[in-house]
Amino acid sequence: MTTRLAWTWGAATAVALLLPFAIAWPLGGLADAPDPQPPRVSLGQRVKGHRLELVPRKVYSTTRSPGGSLTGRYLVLNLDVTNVSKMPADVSDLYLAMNAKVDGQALDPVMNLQSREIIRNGEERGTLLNPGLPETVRIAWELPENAGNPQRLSVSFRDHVYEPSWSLLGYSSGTSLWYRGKIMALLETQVERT
Amino acid sequence: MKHLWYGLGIIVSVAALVAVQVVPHLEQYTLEEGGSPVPADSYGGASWRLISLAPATGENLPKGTAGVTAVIGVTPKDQAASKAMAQGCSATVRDRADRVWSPSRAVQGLPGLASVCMRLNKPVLVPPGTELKWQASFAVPIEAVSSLQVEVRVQKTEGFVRLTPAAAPSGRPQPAG
Amino acid sequence: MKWIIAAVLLVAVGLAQRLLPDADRMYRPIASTGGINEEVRTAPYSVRVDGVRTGRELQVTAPSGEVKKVLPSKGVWVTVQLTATATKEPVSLQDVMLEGPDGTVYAAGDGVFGLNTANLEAGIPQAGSIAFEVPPGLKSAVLRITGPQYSSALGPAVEIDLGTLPAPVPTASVAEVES
Repeated sequence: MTTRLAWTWGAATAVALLLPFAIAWPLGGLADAPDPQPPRVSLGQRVKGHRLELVPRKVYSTTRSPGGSLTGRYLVLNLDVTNVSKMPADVSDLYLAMNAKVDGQALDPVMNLQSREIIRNGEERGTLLNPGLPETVRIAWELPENAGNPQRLSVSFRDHVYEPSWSLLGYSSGTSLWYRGKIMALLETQVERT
Repeated sequence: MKHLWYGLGIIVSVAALVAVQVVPHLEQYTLEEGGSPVPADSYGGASWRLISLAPATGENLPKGTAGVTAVIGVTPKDQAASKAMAQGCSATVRDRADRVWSPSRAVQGLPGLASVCMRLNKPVLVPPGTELKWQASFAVPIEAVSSLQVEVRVQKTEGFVRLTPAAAPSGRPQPAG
Repeated sequence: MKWIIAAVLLVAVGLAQRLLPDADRMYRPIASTGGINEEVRTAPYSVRVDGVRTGRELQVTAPSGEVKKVLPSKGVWVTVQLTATATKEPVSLQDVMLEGPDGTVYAAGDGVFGLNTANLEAGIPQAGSIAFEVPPGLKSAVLRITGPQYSSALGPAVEIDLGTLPAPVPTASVAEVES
C-alpha cells in the first residue's frame, strides 16, 4: 500500500467515526438527557423502591422535641416503611436518600436532624429495618428558633439499587453494593400544626 | 527491543498509579500487630517492672477459669515520659500458646491501686524518677496461668514492653487490704 | 481447518467466562458449617448452637438478672442459644445474621445486647443467646456469623443450619451480656 493510499484510508476512517458526533453534538445529542419528573405523591400514597416501600402518613410541626422534653421548633414526618429487599437496612438508609425542603429552604441532613427512629406502640424501637417487617418511622428536624411556623414540606425520596461495585481505576472487587438510584417520588404537603 | 520498553513503561506506570493511591494512606496498610517488644528499661522513656502476678478472686468466673492480678511498676525518666504515660496505657497477658487476654472487670484487683498509669490524686502526672504502681486483673483458663507474661502498651508509643514473672503465680488469691 | 479451531476456541472462551462465579460468590466469607449441638470452628472463634426457640414477644433480661423490657413482635422472635469461645485473642461476634430458605437475611435485634456483643476471651467458653425479629412464616433458617472484621470478603465465617424452627411460645427470652 502506498503512503498516499494509507493516508486516504486513515482520513476516511476518521471521518466515518467522527461524522455522527459532528452532527449529533451541535444538535444537543451528546447532552445529558433530563431526568424525567419524579411522580408526585401525597400523604397516604405508596412509594415502591427496590429496597424500601414507604407511605408518608403525617407531617406536622411541634414545639416539643419528639421523644424528648426540650422545647423549640420541630418538624416531624411519620412514614410507614417496609424493607422489601432481601437484606437488613437501617432508618439512616432511608434518611440519607431523602432531600427535604421546608417553605423552599433546604434542611441540612446533619445540622437540622433531631431524631430518626422506628416507633412502635408510641415507643422508640431503634433503627433496624429487617426485611418484610412493616414499621412506622418518625423523622424529626429541628428548625431555627426564630423560624416562623413551617407551612409546606417538600421531600424527595431516592431509590437504591443493588449492583456490582466498580471503580474507574479498577480497584473494586466487583461485589455488590447498594447504590443511590433515581428519585422515586416527590412529596409536597401542607404542614399540620399541633 | 521496542516491546521491552513498552513493557517496562507499563510496569512503571502501574506502579506509579498504585503508589499515588496507596502512599497518601500508608498508615492504613501497616499490619496492626502492636509492634515489637522494647527493653523494659527504655519503653516510652520509662523503666517498667512486674512487681507481682498473683491469683485473684473473681465474681461469677466461668468453670475452669482463674483470676490473676498483675501489679506493674513504672518509673518515668523525664517529664516527656510522664506526659507520654498519661496518654493511657493498657496491659494484656499472653500464655505459652500465644493466646492473649485483656483485663476483666469480673476479677477483683487490689484496693488502693489505680488501674491506669496515672496518679489517682492531683497532680495526675507521675514526677520523673518516682515509681507508680498500677494494676490490671485478668480472667484466664486455669491451664494458662503457669505460663503468663504481661505486656504493656502506652498509647501513641510504638511497640510494647514484655514483663515476665520471676515465678508462675501460685497459692491462694492475695487477701484484700 | 484453522478457522474451525479458532471458532471452537472462541466458543470455549465464551463458555469459560460464563462458568466464572460472580464477584459476590467469589469473595464470600469462607464458612465452616455445622448443625445444632456441633462445635463449629473458624480461625478466630468456635461456636456451638445449643438450642433455638421462637416467641411472640421477647423478654430481655439485664446481666444482673432483672427483667429489663418485654418487646412485642410484628412477626416472631427467634432466639438462638449458643456457646462461643475465642481462639487466641479477644473477639466479638458482632455480624450475626439469620438466613431464610429464600436467601433473605435478618440482622440480630437492634438494642438487644445478646452474646453477639460480648467480648469473648481465648479459651473461656461463654454461653448466651442472640435474638432476631423476623416476619411470621419463616420456616427454617441458617445462623450466619461473618464478624468480626470490617470487610467480610474471604474472611472467616460460621454457618449453622438451625433446621425447622419450632412453633412460637408466648414469650421467648434473651439474657443480655456485659459488654
